[in-house]
Amino acid sequence: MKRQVTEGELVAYVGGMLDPGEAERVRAELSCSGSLRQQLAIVIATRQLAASVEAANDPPREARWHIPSPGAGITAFGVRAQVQAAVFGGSAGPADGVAAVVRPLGRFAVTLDPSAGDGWVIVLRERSDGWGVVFPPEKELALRASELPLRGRDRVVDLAVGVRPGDERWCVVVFDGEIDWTLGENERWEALKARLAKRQVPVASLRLRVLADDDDA
Amino acid sequence: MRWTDFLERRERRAMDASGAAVELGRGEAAGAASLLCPWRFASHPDLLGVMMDALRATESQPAHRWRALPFAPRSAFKVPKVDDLPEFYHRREAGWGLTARSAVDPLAWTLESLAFFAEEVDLRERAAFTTRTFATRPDRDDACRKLWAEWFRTGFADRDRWTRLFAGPVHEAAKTALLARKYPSSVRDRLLGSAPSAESELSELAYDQLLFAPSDLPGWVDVATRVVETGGANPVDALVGSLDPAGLLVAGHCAARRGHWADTAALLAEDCDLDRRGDRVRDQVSRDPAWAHGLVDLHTALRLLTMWALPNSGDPDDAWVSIRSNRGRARGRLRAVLARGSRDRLRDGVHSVPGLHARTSQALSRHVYRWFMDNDNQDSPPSPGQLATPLCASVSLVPFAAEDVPAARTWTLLVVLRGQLDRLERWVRSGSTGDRDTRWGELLATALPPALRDPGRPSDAEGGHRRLRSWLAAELGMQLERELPRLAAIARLPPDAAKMPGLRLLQREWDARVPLPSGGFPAIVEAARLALAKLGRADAEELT
Repeated sequence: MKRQVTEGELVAYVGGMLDPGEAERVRAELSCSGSLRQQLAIVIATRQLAASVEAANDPPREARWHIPSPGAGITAFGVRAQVQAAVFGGSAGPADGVAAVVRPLGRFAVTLDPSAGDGWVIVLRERSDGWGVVFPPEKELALRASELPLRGRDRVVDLAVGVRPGDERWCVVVFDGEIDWTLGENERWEALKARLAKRQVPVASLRLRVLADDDDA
Repeated sequence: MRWTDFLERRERRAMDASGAAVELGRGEAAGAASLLCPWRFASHPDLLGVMMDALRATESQPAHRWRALPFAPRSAFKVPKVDDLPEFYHRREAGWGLTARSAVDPLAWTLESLAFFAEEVDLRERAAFTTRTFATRPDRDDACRKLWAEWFRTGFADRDRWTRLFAGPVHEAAKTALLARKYPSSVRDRLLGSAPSAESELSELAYDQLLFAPSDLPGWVDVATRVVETGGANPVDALVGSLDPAGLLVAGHCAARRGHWADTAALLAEDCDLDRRGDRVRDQVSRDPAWAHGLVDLHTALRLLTMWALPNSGDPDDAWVSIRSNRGRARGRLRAVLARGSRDRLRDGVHSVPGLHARTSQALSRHVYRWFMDNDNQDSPPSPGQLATPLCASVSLVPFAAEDVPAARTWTLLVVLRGQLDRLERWVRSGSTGDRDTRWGELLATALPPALRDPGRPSDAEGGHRRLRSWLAAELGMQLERELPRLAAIARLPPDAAKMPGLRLLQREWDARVPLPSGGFPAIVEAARLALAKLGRADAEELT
């Protein structure tokens, strides 16, 4: 039995992930095998289809929102609280990071366990131009976790998706610092952004899939 | 390499091996030593002496078809269409399908095979690394140096600047792994759907992986060790050269205690206890750092001898997988020792390499690639913290009595043959398989001998298997490598008629405390094939 170069090895070879000696071996096998070269062409084509290659080298801008990937284990970063999402009136999502599939304007809830503390509850949503705070919109409407309705031992943040079909990303943070409402929109959240970047605040993000009206949930 | 050169080289090596075998039989080692000189152990008399003793004490039992590879006459070859073969052409391939016409001296075969793989190791595991170049780009290298200084000072580097600098390499590495491991398109599209940028979900996820600190070892430290690994003529030399005396001591004791390494260390210092053996390894490397690479080569070659002592062994592909696994594990353990040593020394190592941006890009790419490749649940991206090269288990963590280890080995093989290798790895890593598979449950509940359960603990899945998990965490990779020849033999069986030959293969070494499979052999053949495919991948770095 002769071990052939596997498809996985070809993919790793094209991606530059093999040690130099193994890469040379694959190169040598390629030079001797027409069928392997055909396979290589397919691998390269698949790779090109998978996504664009060029890295965007965008210039620095103001500090960004660093939102964890949906499902990432936030308690891992020394934060005691984990925020959980519960969805009403939808179905469980497929296992690709989508928390749930919901109808337009469908409701969902994020629960805060007691260890999340009593900081300000900040809700963010991803828009076409990046993440932005959707709650609280102004100082008078800001809420601390303890002001939210109780469900058992947990506090509940009730939210609703929009009307457009497609994926929506949401994020809930409990911030125990102070918010300076005298500052403009860009500066007001700098302290929270810095803490969030270091994963020093209770946070969860989730992705929801909004169906078109005529789709089945 | 021209075809005629290949033939002449091959014949010369075979002739030298035959002569050296006769000499060695008379107690003269010079010919064998000369033949094995590309192995690094050959330039250290103490290591070479261990190898010569092992050669005299071990008789290889290669299968008939592998005996012919070095010794079939020139006339038996078909001349290839291409005369000018690439230097890296797998030179064993030319002899495929030949048969040996006459009896072959096992020692000559062993010496020839060791000489062949010595050249391969030198070419592919050492010389090839010297061809790498890392471009210097002063602006990017400076930016990178500042970010590394932040990591070492605060355990955190400016998230925006880091992700802007490395979004591209992270994207490419993740893409390669997503395609190589055939993640579903939904996961691929989600992570690769946008152009690589500091803003993407993938960048966030990859940065969180660097922050995450399982067992106090955050991902950025692993990346730092991978940067250091690029700094020498080859990874092993670079890593050994970066260890301080304390690191050398840990590495020495690791070598004296871990799995088959303990056997190698015992051959070097039979009269000592484990601690003294560890000290001796440390002392030798302190005096002569090049000795460490000699030890890695000695261990690798001794593992080949052990494999070839099994009946019907000798498949060169199995040998190469063993070489890659052993060297990859040695690199992984050395990185783990470096990672847990002095941070100042690690920082100095990172800052000392030229082309820091290029090296960091490659190190980060390898880290992200392995992280995605080792993810057990391909329905979602890996979670932060899943990748950590384990440090050696100390002897106090080896939990079984010596007489129970064969039962643990047999049970592990049974699990693999029942198609449960992925679940086993998940269970070892996290204590859970993530599902409630009944076949796995039965393997734990009914096939596991009582001696392998924790004494005085309930034998439920959570509480009764801590010793077993601890043992597997340290030993699974080596146990799988040990079983490679048997798995390969089973994988070659025709599924419809696999039962009788399969049972014979299993009964050669099977602890009676574990139930021997009585049926399901077509599935066993398939499971062996899948396990081999998983273990034989050429990019395997660390089989934990």
